[in-house]
Amino acid sequence: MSNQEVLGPLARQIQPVLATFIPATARLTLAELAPVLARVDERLAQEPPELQRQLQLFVRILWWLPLFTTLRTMGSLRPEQRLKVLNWLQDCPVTKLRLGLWGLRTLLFLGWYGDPAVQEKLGYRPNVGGWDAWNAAQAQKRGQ
Amino acid sequence: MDRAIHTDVVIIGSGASGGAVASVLAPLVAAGKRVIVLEKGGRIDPKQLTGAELESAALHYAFGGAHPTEDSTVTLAYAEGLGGSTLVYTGTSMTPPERVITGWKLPGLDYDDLVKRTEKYAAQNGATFIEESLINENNQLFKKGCEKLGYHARQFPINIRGCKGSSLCNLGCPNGAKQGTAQVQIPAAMKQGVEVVTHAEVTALRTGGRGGILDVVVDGGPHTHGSVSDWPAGKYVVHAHTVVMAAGAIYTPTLLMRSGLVADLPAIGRFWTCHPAHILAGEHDKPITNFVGFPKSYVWEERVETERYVLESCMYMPFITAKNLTGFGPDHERLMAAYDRLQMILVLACDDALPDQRVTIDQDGKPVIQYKLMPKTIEAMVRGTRAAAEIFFAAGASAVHAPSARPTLIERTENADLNTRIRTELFKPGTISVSAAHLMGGCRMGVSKADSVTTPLGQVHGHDWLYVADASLFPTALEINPYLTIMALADRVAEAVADREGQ
Ligand SMILES: Cc1cc2nc3c(=O)[nH]c(=O)nc-3n(C[C@H](O)[C@H](O)[C@H](O)COP(=O)(O)OP(=O)(O)OC[C@H]3O[C@@H](n4cnc5c(N)ncnc54)[C@H](O)[C@@H]3O)c2cc1C
Ligand code: SF4
Repeated sequence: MSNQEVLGPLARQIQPVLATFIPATARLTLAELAPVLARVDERLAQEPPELQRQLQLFVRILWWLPLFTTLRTMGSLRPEQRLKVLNWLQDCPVTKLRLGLWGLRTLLFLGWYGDPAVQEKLGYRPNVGGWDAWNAAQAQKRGQ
Repeated sequence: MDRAIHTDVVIIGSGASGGAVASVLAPLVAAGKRVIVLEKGGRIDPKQLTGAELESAALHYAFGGAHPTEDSTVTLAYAEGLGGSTLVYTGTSMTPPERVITGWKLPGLDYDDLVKRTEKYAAQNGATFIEESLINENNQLFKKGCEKLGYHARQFPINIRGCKGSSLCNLGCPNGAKQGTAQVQIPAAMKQGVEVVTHAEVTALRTGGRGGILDVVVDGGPHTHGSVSDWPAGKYVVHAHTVVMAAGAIYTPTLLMRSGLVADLPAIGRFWTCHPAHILAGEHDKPITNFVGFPKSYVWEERVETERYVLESCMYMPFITAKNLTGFGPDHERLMAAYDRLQMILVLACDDALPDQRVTIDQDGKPVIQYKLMPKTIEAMVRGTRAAAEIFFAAGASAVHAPSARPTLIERTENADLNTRIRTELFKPGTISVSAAHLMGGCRMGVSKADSVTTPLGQVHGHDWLYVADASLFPTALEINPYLTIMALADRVAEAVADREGQ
């Protein structure tokens, strides 16, 4: 299994889950989602194929899971309904399910918060120059 | 055909312990002995580090910094490269607690002697107290919160030379300022003729000839940053009079198990422990300096004996922060959006070293870490979480994220309800991110084969050619950041090896 193929092909199923984890991503198109999933897939390339398959299966389970209680897929739920389902899963008694959700959540955070552009928007602007660079940037801000 | 190499001493690993051993044994070279360090990872040139979070983590860490335990409820962080985990450590330089060392009851291990040895490495590494004017607000707020509550937060020395305060220590210092074995002990040893071979992974070891025989694979790459091995790629068989294991608390037990010694030494891999940790974040109303300046300066350890936890000021990069905050959705996003207003505290728990907490191997010989969060440990983390929440609020935070609370965000108005908001039953392994960077045990020192692997001087019971020098020697958790103690123990082991080689 190549590293392009783990979560990338499941973008449609992942989109509503990602939008629940990180509401700011709700506005992303599938094309805009691609680099986020590519970062995840790059990380997943180091993982054994079995784990990659388990993750894909878990994404598919998440898609169908709400069917039992709402007769709808994850994709057709309203944002607050999705949050309720995923919150329930996060604290559910089955450790394996909790772990699956934790793993997917962590990978999607990697895809999103690992992006230097997103980091900058959060206000994270590290500089190898440390205090000198920081002080210079502050002085520049004051001068503006 | 495999190439044969003959040497007097071979050291496996170049981290805190391997670096210390190499520096102590270096004078043997002038006396005509051959000393080789074999390191699985490559050389990392600080000048090429950008500080980009994912790229730097992939370059330094095994499993991107998150090696999962068998049940995946804890992830373990350690680095692979010349310098081992000292490439990414923060450099917090602590003296071991007397209570813990004397509690080990190891014949010949004298506390004052050990402290002297930690002082030697602290001096070599330039351990120093950072000037107060260079301590950022994230750290100052920790101290302020503690002071308001009547707690004594202690500033600790850090090992830096020419630190610019870029706060990137855990991604490898791009300024070459943080002092680790790749900066200090390894270059000093090489100057005296110790041979250091990178991208050289020891895959097996066995008894043979006049000591031990190692199978080694040298990886020809291509490697990131163009790092190349000092030996041509291929398979080697290394014959050594003395073998010193310094591959860390996961791979030293793993290699010993692969060697088949486990039948002879049932304690190999057992009594493995760590300091399970998670981070808490406090939200302030105004931006604070947090990602500029040295990341960590203070520890509060007054409850370690009674309540089994330690709190440290800390700061992590965005992805690691997002991962470590429990949950997702609007609350999580709100906190992430407040990144430049976040104060962070690390809760470290001290757990017991138990025989069933262990490193073992799978059918391919890969390590499997059978480590479970015990109820006592979870309780310690929850107590630590409550104390950290108090400190945040005392420091002026408007809200606190506590992993073992539901909802996880505790507003200032709820400050009086911390005992009911933060509860043990809400700490669910598998939901809360718990990670550990202080990995210990698995080849503990002791006197009997039944419950230890080595003598108090690190010699593997019944195998006079084989020594262990790394963090796997710890009989129990150290309860404080361990690198100086690891180096001090490695120093003793190296002296014993020098004696053997001198005979
Ligand atoms: C992010 C982080 C922050 C930390 N901060 C601090 C701190 O501030 N203060 C503190 O006291 N401690 C800190 N620590 C812990 C400290 O760095 C470690 O405890 C210490 O480095 C362990 O020393 P070691 O020699 O046992 O293993 P390591 O330093 O991990 O070295 C082991 C080496 O062996 C190599 N190796 C493994 N297997 C093989 C093989 N088969 N063949 C060849 N080579 C092999 C590895 O590549 C590695 O280089 C931190 C750790 C981390 C990960
Ligand atoms: S804070 Fe200092 S030691 Fe840490 S990475 Fe920056 S320059 Fe290096």
